[in-house]
Amino acid sequence: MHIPDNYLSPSTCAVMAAAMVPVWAISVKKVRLEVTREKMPLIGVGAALSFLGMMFNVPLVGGTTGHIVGGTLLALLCGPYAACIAVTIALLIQALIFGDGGILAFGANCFNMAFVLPFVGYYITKAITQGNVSRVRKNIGRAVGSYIGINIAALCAAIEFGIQPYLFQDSAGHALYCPYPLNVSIPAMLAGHLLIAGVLEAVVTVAVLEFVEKTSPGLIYKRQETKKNYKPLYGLLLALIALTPLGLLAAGTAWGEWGADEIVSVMSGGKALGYTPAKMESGFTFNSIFPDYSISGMPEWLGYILSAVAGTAILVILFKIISSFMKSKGKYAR
Amino acid sequence: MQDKERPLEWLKREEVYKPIKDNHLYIDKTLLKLFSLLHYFKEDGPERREGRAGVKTAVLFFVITIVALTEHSFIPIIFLVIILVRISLLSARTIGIILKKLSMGELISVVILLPAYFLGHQVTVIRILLKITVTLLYVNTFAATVKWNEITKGLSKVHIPDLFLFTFDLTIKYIVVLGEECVNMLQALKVRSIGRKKKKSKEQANILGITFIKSKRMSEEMYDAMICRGYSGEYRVTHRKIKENKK
Repeated sequence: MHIPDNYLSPSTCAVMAAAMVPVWAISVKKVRLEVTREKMPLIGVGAALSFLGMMFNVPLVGGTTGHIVGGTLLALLCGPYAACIAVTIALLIQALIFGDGGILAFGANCFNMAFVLPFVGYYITKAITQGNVSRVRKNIGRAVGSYIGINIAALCAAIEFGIQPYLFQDSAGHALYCPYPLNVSIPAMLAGHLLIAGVLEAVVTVAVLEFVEKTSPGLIYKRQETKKNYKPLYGLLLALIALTPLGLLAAGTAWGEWGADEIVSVMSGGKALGYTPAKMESGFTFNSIFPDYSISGMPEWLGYILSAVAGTAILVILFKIISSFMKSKGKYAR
Repeated sequence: MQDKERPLEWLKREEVYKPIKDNHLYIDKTLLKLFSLLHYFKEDGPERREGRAGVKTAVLFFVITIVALTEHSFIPIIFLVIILVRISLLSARTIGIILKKLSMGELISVVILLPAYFLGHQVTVIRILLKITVTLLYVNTFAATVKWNEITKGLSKVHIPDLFLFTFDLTIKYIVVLGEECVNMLQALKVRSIGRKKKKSKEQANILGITFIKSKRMSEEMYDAMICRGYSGEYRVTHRKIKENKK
């Protein structure tokens, strides 16, 4: 669901970034108030989980691929505001270091995956699981919340894609940015997410939360229990890192993430596009260190694993630095 | 009778002494910097580990050599990933120290390499910056995770000449000793300045001068002590470990 550069016009990108500024400001304020230094590792682990989850590409309908985001999972673990920050940072690392998701489109990507997804998923889950409910209902609530969350986020992305051809055309009637209008982009993105990626997101959310409930329930947001053990989560991270090459198996570029050379021949509605939108050829480019999670000179799977390791390490370092600026709740704090 | 009156006159007068606001900023700043320096050298936190100093030093030299010699980009990147994992296990404070030192080196390198970047050698510049980053990260992590005396031991195992080791060892020890002398002098200066002295920074030269004289005296005393204890010109690093008596 990452929107690359040159798919959205700079004005769209600016609007989305402006929309995110108050969200970020409020999230930072809330996190500074609520989260103590001791809880920061959880947010860091959450960001790493989200980052690793996004490396597992699953094949969707129509020959494209998608991935889970884990935004609702993070919101249920650390609260929606902390989840917003965590996903934002994961997306930042992906955009700057791995070239996954555009730099200009960062605001739009954050809006979809760091704002819409965690908040929608969190509040829907909370609505279903209010009060003292059974285990089954809790899991259903989490599944439904995360499913709806990711699909609404996909819908937002599809809308952002779909309005481009109407608003930005050149003199020949060709689109300057994303060439697929709403009647193409919405079905394309939603089909894949409703059928496969959403289901996967729900399954992963429920599974990981069950795992945390069993091993260290004190970590879950607003839980009063005291059993807090980070080791199972670190073990989960290591297992995911080792399994990342599986994400390479699903061939095919995700919908809306084609490169400038690919998009000419992408089939839609039975016919190929036939032209390359002007801004994609000559727009903003950015060369990152690990382009597409690969390292030149190494086999793809090894580059993928090393990228996963590097990304996780960088996230852990970043969150340790951030946590040193947070206040720590001592034993005698009010 | 009059002589008995006069002393009481000044007792009856109101206290009108208001000391002029003195500027302690310079001394405080210098003191803080000295304290952090001393803390850095004296610190033996849980992240400074013992053991296998020789291996660690050898690995460090090996990595630096390979990274400097290679033409490929992926070799520095592999080492970068390894050191990133190592750094992610350290505490936030140590990470901050390492990154601060890294940033200074990077800044200087970027400034030096900037003309080359604009003259069209972008790939080379990026590769050089990558190598510099990896090397600096390795060296700073080594400095942050190995105890000071272990560094000397490790260097000796890599067959660095004894004279260099001796100088290195003494430098570290005497940075601490002389640093504490400086701290004492600065605190004396702060406590004893009543009234205003406009430019305390002029004291800097005085303090350094006194420190120099003290260091000269200390080095002579140290030499005499070494001679008395049988120093014959060699400097050996003991490799024996004093084992705990586990009962």
